[in-house]
Amino acid sequence: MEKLLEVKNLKTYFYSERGVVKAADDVSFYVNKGETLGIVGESGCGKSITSMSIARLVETPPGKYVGGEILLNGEDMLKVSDERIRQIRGNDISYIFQEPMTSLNPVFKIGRQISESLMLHRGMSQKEAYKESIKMLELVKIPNPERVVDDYPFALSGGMRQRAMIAMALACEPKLLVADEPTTALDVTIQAQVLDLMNELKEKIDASIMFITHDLGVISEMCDRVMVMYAGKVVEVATTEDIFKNPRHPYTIGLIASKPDMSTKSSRLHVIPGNVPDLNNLPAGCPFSTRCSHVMDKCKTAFPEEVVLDGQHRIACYLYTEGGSKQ
Amino acid sequence: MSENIVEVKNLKKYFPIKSGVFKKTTGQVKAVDDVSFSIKKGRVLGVVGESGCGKSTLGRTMLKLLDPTEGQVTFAGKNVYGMSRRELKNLRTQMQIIFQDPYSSLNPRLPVYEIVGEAMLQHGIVKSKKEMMDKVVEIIGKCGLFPEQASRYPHQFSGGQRQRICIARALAVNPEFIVCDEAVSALDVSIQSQIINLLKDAQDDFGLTYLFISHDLSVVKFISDDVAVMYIGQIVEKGPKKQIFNNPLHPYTEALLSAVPSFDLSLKATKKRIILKGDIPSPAKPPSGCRFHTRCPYAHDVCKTDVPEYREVESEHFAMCHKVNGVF
Repeated sequence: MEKLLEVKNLKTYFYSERGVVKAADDVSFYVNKGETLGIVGESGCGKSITSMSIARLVETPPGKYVGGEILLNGEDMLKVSDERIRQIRGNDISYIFQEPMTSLNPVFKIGRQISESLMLHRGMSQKEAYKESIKMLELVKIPNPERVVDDYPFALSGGMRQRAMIAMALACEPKLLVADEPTTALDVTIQAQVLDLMNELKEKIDASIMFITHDLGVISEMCDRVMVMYAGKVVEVATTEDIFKNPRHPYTIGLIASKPDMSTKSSRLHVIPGNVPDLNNLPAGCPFSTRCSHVMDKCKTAFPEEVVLDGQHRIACYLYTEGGSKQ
Repeated sequence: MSENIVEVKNLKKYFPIKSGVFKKTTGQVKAVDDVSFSIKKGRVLGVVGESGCGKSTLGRTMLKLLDPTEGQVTFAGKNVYGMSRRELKNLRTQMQIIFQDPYSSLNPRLPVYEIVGEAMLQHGIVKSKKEMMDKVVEIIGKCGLFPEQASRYPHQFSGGQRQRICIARALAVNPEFIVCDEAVSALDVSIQSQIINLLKDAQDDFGLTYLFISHDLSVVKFISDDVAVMYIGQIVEKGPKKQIFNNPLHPYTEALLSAVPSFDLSLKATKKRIILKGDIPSPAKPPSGCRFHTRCPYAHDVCKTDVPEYREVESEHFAMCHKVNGVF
């Protein structure tokens, strides 16, 4: 497998009057060509900031890329010039966000918004781009694309808007599609349509997808591998099958157990006690130590080194390091 | 079988669409359109459906937070809509609601003891401020908050803790029936499970009856005894949870269930995904005949013209579909 994207020790911090927020702290992962990597975690765990850092979309200031490398085909996104990153955005890396109403410009017609990146990145004339836009809308299965291309975003339903967003994101056939909670705002039956569409198109244009969501069900339907984040840290990375069949980090275990699934039979849900810690005021050591039932003294002093089991199951937990009870 | 605590008969709630300079009524959004059902004491009725299907309007109209257009709701044998103001006020202690967003449903200027205790004083459940404080501490304790947190303000709490305050506020007046309107939808997974367990415990401790409104089928499956499925203002299927999930009758229920992403990998292999065509039609212009016919994979001509009968197909299991009724 060839790696398309490799992120090494990414640190994206935010500086505010209340202190430093380490939104992504020492995050490392890779995405293979043609693969879908899921990033899962609760609100504030840094999954969105990590994904936005990839194309340098985090506003600086207040944000700052403190360290690390983001290698797309060997090119470091954090080092390239502003001009180069603009070429890459939309062309090599494109994004789909959660709220299609706020990420589409309300005063421009759908066609013009899709055309824009085609004209910019692929040098098409307005006329060509318009025709290509209709083709893209057809590709994402919007009924009557010839009409919709001249519609404004408000005229479309949520599901249709998200399809238009996907059309826009795929217009230049990007190598990496970053989908940040793309179906969270949609209804279940519409979500099923959009997920189906994304899987189909991914095959068609041979792109890799980074799929960010808090919904474990969606992860299992969409992703090849999963990365679990907690309070800015990567706590576990494994194949989707491994994560659900054999979760190892106490947080992952708790997260999966506490979500009622269609097949849940017990009468009480598993509970992770306590609350997600405030990023302004993280506990020392492992951020999960305040809620973990296996907590040891060393958990409170330093974040554990990552351990790799079975070749590719990465865990950051002292239970699995030398001398740990599950080692 | 225990008695029905809530009975809803032919309930309708239409919202007028006004347009033009004189705000003339030009149409109606039929948010709840001829809905009938009952809930037995001590049971949880889950209401599922997609956005705009009228599930929240149903919950609010039942409590007379919204005035009904037509129909009847009886609570413990009394007609809710035929009550005087005073009777209605007394009824409020028995019927409570918990909303989705714990940020906007708590007054930011009041400390927790006032939020939770205000209604107790109002309704004469406690006689003095001192008694109120004791009662508040007891109730918030049951909801997993500490006594010293009673004097804090909502902004000092996280989302999950705020939802605990909302639950404490609802429980404070010793209700019998609570409408939970997407009560856990805004919460993170690990917090959601805490609140769901809390709601279950409260139900056991106080013998409560819930109307549990949610778009999340896995949560509804977990907490409910019975489930009603809504589609554009109507209940298309209702029955005991087991029947709804194992043997759905209505094609919409079938599609809805198949669309829920599950992380049970053993299920994945056998599951057939039914992808529905098109969008949910607007409740301002619901399709003729069966409202689901525009998206239904089994639709016949009769579905476009005739409204199917809402019928008890098996014991306690109702559905509204021509196919199920054997019309074709």
